[in-house]
Formats: sequence, structure tokens, C-alpha cells
Amino acid sequence: MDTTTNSKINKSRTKGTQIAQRASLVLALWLGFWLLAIGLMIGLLWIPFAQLHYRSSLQFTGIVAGLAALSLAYSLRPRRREKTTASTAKPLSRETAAPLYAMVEKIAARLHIQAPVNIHLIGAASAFISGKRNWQGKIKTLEVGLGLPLLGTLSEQELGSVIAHEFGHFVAGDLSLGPWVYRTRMSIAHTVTDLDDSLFFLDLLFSYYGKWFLRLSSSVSRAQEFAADALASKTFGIVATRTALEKVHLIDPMWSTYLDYELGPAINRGARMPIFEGFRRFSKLGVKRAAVQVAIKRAETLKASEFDTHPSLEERVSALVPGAKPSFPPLSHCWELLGGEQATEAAWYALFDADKLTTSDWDAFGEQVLQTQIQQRFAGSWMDPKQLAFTELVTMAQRPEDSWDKLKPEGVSFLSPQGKRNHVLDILEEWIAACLIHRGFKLKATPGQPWVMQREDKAVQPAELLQQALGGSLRSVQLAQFDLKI
Amino acid sequence: MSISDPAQLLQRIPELQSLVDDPKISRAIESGDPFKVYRALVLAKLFRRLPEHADVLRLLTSERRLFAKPLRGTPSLGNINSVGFGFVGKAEKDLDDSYIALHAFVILFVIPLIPLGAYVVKSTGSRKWQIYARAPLGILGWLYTRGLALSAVVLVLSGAAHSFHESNSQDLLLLNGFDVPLTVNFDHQTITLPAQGRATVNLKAGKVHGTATATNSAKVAEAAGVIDQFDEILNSSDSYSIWNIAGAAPLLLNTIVYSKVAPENPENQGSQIVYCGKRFIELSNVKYAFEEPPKTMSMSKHESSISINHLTVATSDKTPGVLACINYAMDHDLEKEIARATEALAQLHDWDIRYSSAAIVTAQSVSNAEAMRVAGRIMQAKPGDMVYERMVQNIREAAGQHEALLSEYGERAKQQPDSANAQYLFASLQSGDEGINAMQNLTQKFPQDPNILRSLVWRKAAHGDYQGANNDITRLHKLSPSDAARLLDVEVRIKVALRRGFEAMNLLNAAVRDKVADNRAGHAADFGLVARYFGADPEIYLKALPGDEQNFRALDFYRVRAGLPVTLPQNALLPEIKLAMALRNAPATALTIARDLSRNQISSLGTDQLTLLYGEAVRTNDKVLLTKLQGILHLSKTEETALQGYLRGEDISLEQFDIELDIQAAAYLIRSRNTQLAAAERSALRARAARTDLLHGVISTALNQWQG
Repeated sequence: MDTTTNSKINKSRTKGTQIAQRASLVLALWLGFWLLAIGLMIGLLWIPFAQLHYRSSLQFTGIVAGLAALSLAYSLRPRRREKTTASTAKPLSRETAAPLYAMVEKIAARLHIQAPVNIHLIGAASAFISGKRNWQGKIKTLEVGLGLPLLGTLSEQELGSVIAHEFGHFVAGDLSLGPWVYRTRMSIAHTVTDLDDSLFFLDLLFSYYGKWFLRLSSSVSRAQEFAADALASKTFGIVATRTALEKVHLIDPMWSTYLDYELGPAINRGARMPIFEGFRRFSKLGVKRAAVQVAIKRAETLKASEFDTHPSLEERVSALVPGAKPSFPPLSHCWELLGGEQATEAAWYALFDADKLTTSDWDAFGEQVLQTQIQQRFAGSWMDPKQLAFTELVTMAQRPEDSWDKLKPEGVSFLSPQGKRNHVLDILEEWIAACLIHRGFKLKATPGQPWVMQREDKAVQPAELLQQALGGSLRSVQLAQFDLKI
Repeated sequence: MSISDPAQLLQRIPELQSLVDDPKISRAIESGDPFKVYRALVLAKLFRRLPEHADVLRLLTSERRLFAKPLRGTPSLGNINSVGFGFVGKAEKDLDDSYIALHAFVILFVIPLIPLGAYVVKSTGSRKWQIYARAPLGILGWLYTRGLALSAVVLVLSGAAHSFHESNSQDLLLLNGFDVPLTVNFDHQTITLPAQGRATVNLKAGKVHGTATATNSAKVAEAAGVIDQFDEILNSSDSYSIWNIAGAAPLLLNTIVYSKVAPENPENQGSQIVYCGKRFIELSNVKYAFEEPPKTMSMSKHESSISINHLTVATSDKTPGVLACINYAMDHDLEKEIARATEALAQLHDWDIRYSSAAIVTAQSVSNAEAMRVAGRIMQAKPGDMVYERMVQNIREAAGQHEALLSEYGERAKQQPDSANAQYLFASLQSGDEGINAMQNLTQKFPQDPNILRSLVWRKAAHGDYQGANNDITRLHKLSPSDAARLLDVEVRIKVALRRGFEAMNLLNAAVRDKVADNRAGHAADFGLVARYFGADPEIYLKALPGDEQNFRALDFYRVRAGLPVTLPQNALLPEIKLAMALRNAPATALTIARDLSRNQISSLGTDQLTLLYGEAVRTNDKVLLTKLQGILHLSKTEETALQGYLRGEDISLEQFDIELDIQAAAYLIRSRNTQLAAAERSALRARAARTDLLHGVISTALNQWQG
């Protein structure tokens, strides 16, 4: 037996031991939850039983304990499991994504993975792997999810490293543990929710157990991530793995904000927008709209928690290259694997009911989509620019609370005074746009930027006008300049 | 550094943004629980932690709906007869008519008892609501529910501890039926029980070992030692577990029936179980224990009667419980049951002769081996005491150990030729002429020994040497008045035989008047017989009984024994008196009555009455009655076997045995009834019976009145 074989055997044994340890821990935690719950329930039920059995009389304490046991039993009832989108969503077809499939399968082969693979495109700047199992519990197919922004920012090598990282979870047996961790988390979460403010303080017990469980399982998860990183770096090199990690962490706040504030709302308005083009515009340096700026800032500065399932970027980079600090590598792309930028976007839009979306672009979106919808929103209402004088903005912005009754959303509102005020101001901003459209202005919406209304050489931002009105610096006379001169 | 906001509260309540620097508030936001955020704000406001944000805090805490959570199912609103769950109150009413209502367990629909939560609702009709979301309880409501929760937890924990303790332990009720205090020891507990007292001790369930010892004085305690042991498995239950020490206390379980309509036969209502002699008793469904049950009981209209169980101990100022129990057991042929109590009683009283005799009698009812064991203990406690030695000899005789006794005591007599006691005990085992001669010789060798002289008197009288017996008893009176007093009955008969009626009456007169003497009523009856025979007033002592026996039932019993009529006609119907009267003239009736009486009731008869009954039972081969009467004449096994043969008409002489005169007289009468015998012999027997019935009592009456 040569040295390489011995080394392989040793590594295989170490890996087996790690899997066994993790599995034991997770199983113990899962078992611990049910032992705690059922033990507590039996303990509570024993009190009335003992009173009846040993003294033939049910005392008040027995009734209270019985009620506590029943409420606990109710909170532990089996629940219908919701099917995850990953397992039900349609994967990319092999015809559409032949090179990507080829690459993924090649990586799988290098890692001695024989299960068939399905690839899914997801919106977030991340990746996942899960397994579909047959009735015997054996892996039937591996479902690999790749975030759309990864294709627009990573090189092929870097994407390969991400895929290898995900396969690393499979190779390490994490996929077997995942469902157990998930089930236990759900059981604890359901129990704590149902026992919330329980008359018997039962929620506290499970809440503490839940935190302890999360702390332990999260530390296991973080160890799994390090192991998967190590496998990725071994397969695609430290540089590719490190830059992939850095890029994903770098773009994640921007991408999630872009998704929430630009692309998502545009799709909700029925527009099929160029995704990567929008992101490129969104990512350009410069001052962004206040809300966008705040959202990016919040995403970038999110506090680390002991319950995080992933280590911080600093820790991961340091684990790959001891002593190294995260850097900001230049972005690249690998959408060629899906036939180019547009083909990639088309593959993603194929996940939606794409027929209902109207193709647009970021230059035309404002005028084509937004402008029309804004006009429709106020047409015929008491805020119809034909009915309500633009000059009312001064008063309305000064006392937005007065408009709440007319502008409140349907149903019961749970907004605070500031929340209500923001709601009214959001509508007012659109109403300003509507008024300006009524006066011949065209709306221009650039990702990340405030709306700009333009008429010939005159440009104005509704948000700016609103701010002036709020600040009391806007006068009715000033608004008259926007009127059409006939 | 931004914080996570799983519940997206910062969007709903932008004002919170200014408060996220506070760690408690930011932690609450990060928990994703809006209720926690609300409580964090309320506490910050109450404790004025963030004075610079006082206005914001006041503003936000005034609107609980801002912190609403989605519904997790519909809250229960069901109720029965206005008791159940419902919404109460209208707080923070909004312009859209929604408001916050308290969800609570209510009575009369609107009075909240237990707040369960708060909800944002809109009223859609009478007691109908559209429910939108859960809202936090106000801080007072929250504190109230948390207080309730804490109480519930404390309650459950105390209930668990209590139930655990109850499931592992059991109260054991200790009863002391003796007239001395006892000390009861368990593994880790010592309890002192007062005389005729009771105590309850909580013990670990399972196998329990306990001992009871006397505590009245160190000397008695040491001498008495352990009088009873408890080795039982104690089960945790709601039953009364009772250790009636040695079974001595007369524990009663009364079933009392309360009826709406007065019953026709009130005496048939209810029942009573007496637990005399039972040592470990477990009783369930006892409603009143050691307390008087009420005179009346309320019951539902559907019930016509209710029965309840009442547990108590029969008490009497004058009679200790153990004696009451012994009497009860004797009256109900339960001698076996009470054997341990009588043994313990004798043990506690330093093996007093009366209690020791009772212990032996009850032990004999268990088995001869048991009687021998008790006798062994007695001899261990009273070594060399002639009274006890003789008692033990009698037990062994009754057990058929005559030959062994002869050998054993003969050996002892041989080894101790100068010991009057050794010689007396050996000679006591001899009977007939042999016995008289042996005792006669011993009186010459040991003229100062009262036992020998007493035995000689008794033997001479039993064999008809009244003059010799009279001479010897005169000596005995001088030598040992107490020993002479033990032969009172014999001496009375000797005097009557010698026609010295005045002396006989004087003896009985003194005995009846002696307030500490035993059997004063029996002596009164004997006085009646002697007085009538000698022409004096037989009723001097039978108009009222001496001592404590001041009741007409007992009086008439002794009057009948003395051949006098009853004072109250209804007393003639009492079983004991009926039996005594039937023995005068209707032997078959007497047998029938006796079958329904207990051995104890029968044993209250005089020896002459007893022997007539016993003899008729033997003659008619009444096996049921014979079983009941076995050993009642206190004869040895040999003597009893011989007597039975004699009574049946077999060719046996009684001369070789030392048998009481009354037994002899009755035996002659019974044998004379055997028609198989020659008329001359029968006539001689009747004449002999008349001669031997020195007091001219029931035997003489039967001689005249029994038919056939």
C-alpha cells in the first residue's frame, strides 16, 4: 500500500468520524428536544394521575398541571410540512444550460459524486444544495441552486469554487443532518410560538432550549462551512475560492437592495427588465436615493450573531489564507455558461409567468410603465391632478396627518404616526409626479437614483419638491413655474 | 452597525430607529417579537431610562396595536352559561372602528378572571368580532398574567412535590389498646403512644419494619421487651392504614345509614365490624375517623338513603381496650385472633397470673405448640414460681405430654431430694391413691410446705376424705392463709359434707364481702345454695349483686344458678339464663341453646352446670357442641379422655383420677342415664351423684327433674 492510499484512508476515516460526531450531536439535540417536551408532558400528567391513583381525589394543582400538559401537547401536535420551493421549482433545462450542467457534472465527477444533478437559478446572491431522496432515504437527485448575481459577477473558476463548496456539504454528509436540524428548529419554533406567553411559563423552557440548540447547531453549521471552503479551495484553488467569497459578500448588500428596491418593484409593476444592466447602473458610484442608501448601509453593517450559520468573511478568508484580510477584487462574469447575459436573464424570467410581463428597459421604464401607472392611480380620484390643485402640496406636506384618513390603506392599519406620515408622503411623492406628468413632464427612473421629471430642459425631482414642502421652503408661487404655458 | 429586524418593525414604526442604540430595545427588536419591544419600551418609560426619548416612548407605548403580531389561529370564544372565553373592553379605538379587546376567561360574559391576551378587533354584531391581530397586553395585564403564570408554576411544582411525597409515603395510624404507654420505633422515627392512645406517623411506602415496646418504666420496658412487630408492605393510597398494636384496640368500623324516611326497624339499619385481634388493617371509604358523625345528613332528592363509614375505637373509662377486645373475642369464639394481644397484655403486666392464664388459653386455641411457646416465655420470666410451674404442667398435660412430664420431673425430684418444690412438682403429676400417698409422704418430709399441704387437701376432698381434708386445711390456714384461701370452694364443700353449714356460710360470707376477691357473684350463688340447704335465707346476697355487677341480667344468671327464680321475667329469655334454666329440667333443650352460644358465654356457667352440659353432649355425641366445649373443664388430656369414656358408659373408673367433686357428681348423673347399664348400677350412680353434689345445686335438681 503506497503513501497516497494510506493518506486517503486516513482522510476518509477522519471525515467519517466528523460526520458521525456531527450526526450524533444533531441527533442528540433533536432527541433532547423531544425528551424535554414529552418528559415534561408526562411529568405534568403524572401529577393528576398520582393524585387520583394514590389519594382518589383530583386536587386543584392536578387540574392546573393537566391543563398545562394539554397546552403543551397541543403545541407539540404534528404539523403539515410545507414543501420547499427548491424541491418544487422547475430546474434549468439541459438544452438551455448545457455548458453549466457540463461544468457542474464535471466538478461532481472530480468529487466522486454520482447522483444526477438539477440546477436551479435563484434571485439571491448565494448558492445552495439539497437532495431529493427516495422512499429508502437514498439520494435520488441533487438540487443545486445558483444565485443569478453569481453568474454576473464571478468568473467560471470562481463559480466552480462555489459549486465545489456546495458539493462539499454533500460529501461531508451535511445534507443528511440538514433535515434533522431543520425539523428540530421548526419543532422548537412552533412550540415556542404556540406557547408564547403561556400561562405556565412553558415557553421559557423551550425558548432557552431553542437558543442553546441554535448556538450548538450554528457552530456545527459554521464548521461545515469551513470544511466546504477547504474542499472548494482544494478543487479550484485558494485564489478562486477566496475571490468568490469576497465578491459574494461584496455584492450581496447591493444586490439584495437592488432586488428589493428596483428590480422587484419593477417586476411587480409588470415589467420585464434587463437584470444585469439594471444592476450595473445601480452599482455605479454616486449618491443614491435616501431609502436605497439606508438599505445598503443596513445590509452592509448587519451585526454578526452567535446564531449565524455562516462564519464572517474575515474568518473564512483567514481560514483559507492565514492572516489575510478581505479585499475587493474586480467583478467579472460567467453567463456564457447559460448562453450569455440575455439568455441568463431569460432563463431566470422563465421561472415566472413571463407572458404577463411587458419587456422594457431602464431608459424607457419611467415613461412607459411608471408614468402610465401613476396617472392611472390618481385618475378620477380626489387627488386627480385635474381636480386637486398642485399648490395644495404645500398644505398637504405640512400636515400629512390630515390626509391619513383619505389615504390610509384598506383594512386595519398598524402603522405608527411616523409610519402613517411616511405612507402619506410616499403617496404625495407619486402625486407630485402625477401632477408634473399632467403638466407635460416625463418620468425618468434610473436604478438607485431618485425619480427625475423632465420637460424639455427643465428637470425636477418629486422627492426634492416634497422635501422642500416638508421643510416649509416651498411656496405655492414656486409651483406655478411648472404649469404649462399656453 | 445595523440590527436585524425580523418582524420589520422599523418599517412599521420608524420612530424606533431613534431608540435602537439602547441595547435592551435593540435586543427586543432583534428577537423579532413585537410584544417584547413593547414591553422594553414600557419599562424604559416607567424607569425613565431614556429621558431624551421620553416623548417617543410615551407616543409609542400609547398605541399597542403598533406592536401587533399576526394571528396564530382563532382565539376560543366558547362559553357555557355565561362562563367561558370572550372579548372584554374596548381600548385604543381607531377611526376605522377597530379597537383592542382583552381576551379572557370570563364569567357573566364580561367579568374577566384570567386574561389570556389582547386582540385588535372590530365588532360585527352582538358578541361578534372580526379579529385582525394579536396585540400585547398592557403592562398591568401582562404583569397580572405573568403573576398568574408564576402562581400556576408554583402551584404545579408544589403539586408535583406533594404528589411525589404522597406516592412515596403513607400515613400509618397507630393504635394502643393497652393500659400502658408504648414506644413505637420505625427506622428513623420513634413515637410514644399514650395508654389507649393513637398517633399517626408518615412512613415511606414499601416494606416497613416497626417495633412496639412498653415505655411506662425502664424496668417494665426491659422486662416486657418487644410486644409486637410490624412487618408489612405499606402501599400509598387514600385508605386508612392502621397498625393496631398486637390487635389489642377494639377498632370499630360502623356503617351508618341515613334515611329520608324513618326505617321500620332502626336496629337493622347500618352495621358494625369489630377489628379485635387484627393487627394490620387497611380501610377505604372512611368518611369520619375518630370523630362523631353528624346526626343528620343532607342528600339529593333522588336519594332515599346514604350510608357512610365511621371509624372509631370503643372506649371505656374502666375497661382498657385490650380487655374489651379479649371479652369480645371470647364472646365470639375468636380466641385465636386475640392470642397475641393476651400474650402482650401478660407481658406488659410482668406475666401476672390472670393475664398469663388468659394468654395460655388463647394460645391453646391456636395450637398446643403455640401454648407451649407462651408457656416457655412465662417460665423464662418466672423461673421457680410454683403457680406458673403447675400451670405449665397443666398445659403440657393437656397437650398429652404426661409421660414426658413424669420422666422429666421425676428426674428432677431424684436429683433434688431435699427440694420441696421439686418433690411437689413431681408428686403433682401423680393421681388417685398414688398421688394422695405421695403428697401424704411429702407432708411428713416437708411439713412447712404450703403447696404440698394444699395439694393434699384438694386430693383428699376429691376422693371423699372430707374429714382428712378438713384437718389438713385447718393446718393450711395456720401455715399459709393465702394458700388456704385458694381452696375456698373445696373448703366450703368439705364443711357442707361434714354438715358444718354455719362454717361454710361464714367462709362464703367473707368471700362475698371481700371487695378485692374474685368471683364474688359466684360465691354469692354458692352461698344461696348452702343457705337454702341449711335453712337460712338464700337470697341475702342475691337481691343485688356485690361489687360492680349491679345489673339484673347478671343477677338473674346467678340466681338461677342458686336455684332461685329470676327477678325480671324477660330475663328468662336471655340465652345464658335460658341455658341455665334448661339444665335444671330439659337437657335436650340445653344442648340446643348451647349450640348458639359462644364458648365464653358457656364458660360463665358453674362447674356443675358445665359438666352436665358437657356430659349430655358426650352422651348424645353432639359433635358440634363437643368441639366448642373441648378443654372447657380444664382437665388433662388423659382425664378428659377417661371422663368421656365414663360418661358414655364404658368400663372406666374415675377413682384413679383427681377430678373436682362437681364434675364427679355430674358425671355420675350422666352415666346413670345410660340405659345400657344395669338398673342397680344406674340407681347407685344416682345416689352417688346426690351424695357428691355437696351444695345440692343443679345436679340435685336434675336428678329429680330430668326425664329418661
